Amino acid sequence: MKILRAIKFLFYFQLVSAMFLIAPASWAESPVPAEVSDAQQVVARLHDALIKAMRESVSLGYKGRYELLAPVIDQTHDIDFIARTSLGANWTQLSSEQQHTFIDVFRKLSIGTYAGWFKEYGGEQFEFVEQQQMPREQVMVRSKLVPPKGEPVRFDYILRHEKAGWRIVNILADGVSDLALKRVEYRAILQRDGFATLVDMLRKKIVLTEQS
Amino acid sequence: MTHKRTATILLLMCALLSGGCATTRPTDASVDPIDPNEKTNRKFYDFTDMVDRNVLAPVADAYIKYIPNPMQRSIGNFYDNLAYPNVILNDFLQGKVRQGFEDSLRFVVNTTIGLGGLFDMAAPMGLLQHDEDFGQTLGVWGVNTGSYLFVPLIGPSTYRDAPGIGVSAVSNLLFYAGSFASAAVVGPVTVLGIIDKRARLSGPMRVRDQAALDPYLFVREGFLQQRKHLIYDGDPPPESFDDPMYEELEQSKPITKSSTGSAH
Repeated sequence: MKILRAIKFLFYFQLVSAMFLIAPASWAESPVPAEVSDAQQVVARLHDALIKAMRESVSLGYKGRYELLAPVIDQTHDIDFIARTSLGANWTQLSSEQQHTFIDVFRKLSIGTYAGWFKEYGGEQFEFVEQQQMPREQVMVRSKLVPPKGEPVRFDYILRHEKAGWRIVNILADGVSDLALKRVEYRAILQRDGFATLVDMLRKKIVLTEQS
Repeated sequence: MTHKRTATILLLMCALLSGGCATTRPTDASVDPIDPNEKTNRKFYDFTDMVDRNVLAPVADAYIKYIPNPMQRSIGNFYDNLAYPNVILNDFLQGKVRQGFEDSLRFVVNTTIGLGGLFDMAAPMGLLQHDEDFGQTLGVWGVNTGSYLFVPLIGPSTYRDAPGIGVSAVSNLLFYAGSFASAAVVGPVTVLGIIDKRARLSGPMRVRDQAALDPYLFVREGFLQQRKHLIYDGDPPPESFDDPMYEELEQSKPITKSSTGSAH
């Protein structure tokens, strides 16, 4: 009967806590009007390509998916900016040749990662959630990938406006920022093992995306 | 008796952890402020990873392969339900009174109609599962994350999240099972619980193995960010993304950016 006592204790504790605590302020932001924005269209373009890659995954194969996604990613992402930001202050210490190599490897890894992961289709759909203004004139387009069964995965995109229009500069999957993750890893490896090792490791990861 | 023991454990943990906070070494340029104990943490990480790869991962893989999905789901539901008092407790501690009552009802519904938690009968009634724990409560109360901590065999944590390990242990009904069921039952039930937990982590582990250049850092950053996401209940305000990465870039930017990247 100790278990009953334990439960009783717990509920009692809850009641006491409830009396002492007040409801917190709501975090919710007011949503942006429902009109489809340009930034949203950029994200939608990427999503359409990803769904297509998943649907036709078998006939396309890894190479086909890579070729399908490459132009879309080039046009929806600012790969140069993401690559530079991922190295932070270290970027300026690289020679222009090294910068060039890094951007090239980084681009291939980004496309390869998409081609490697989005390869099984089970009726998933992307749904737009909302758009929010961000500091430094950026916007966040929030969406989720909803499988027919099970938990949806949140995909939030940060976009900034450039001459050519809105471009994705960061992706958050369930709150985890891809750019922040890469930044921490790349910086550590660059300082510990040097540029050649970093590029070498990235090249190995590109090969790995094919096997995922 | 049980309460007295748990209270002692909790107090001890709090004392140890706050003691740990107080004795952080003076800042050194090479030491990451979020992870001043990186050296020790890495050792704990390597040890845990070694145990995981040799013992837990093969068992979890076999479990995923041979146990039918609906059964895995029921097993998962069962353990979630046993641990659910922790969610309810932290709902109220965070001032989410309404969610607290809903979660209490969810717990009652699943324990009774859901046959001891095996079936999630509450979700179709609109009583959805929530994810709350004591670390999140402390975050909501304004306690800083504190240093990163890799707890051997348990996983990534922080000074703020570590007390939650104790709180979730004592608010889990499995903790009290020993006082009314024999070890022959409690033992296997606990082991199955561990397998279930590890099996559910197999997705993120796969992502880590494929994407990480430095798995330790990958896990650390992923964990810290996901915790922040959870504290805001999956809806962080835009300001929370305002990290210093852009400032650093602005300072380091050599030439004006051309959108075509021709500057390189």
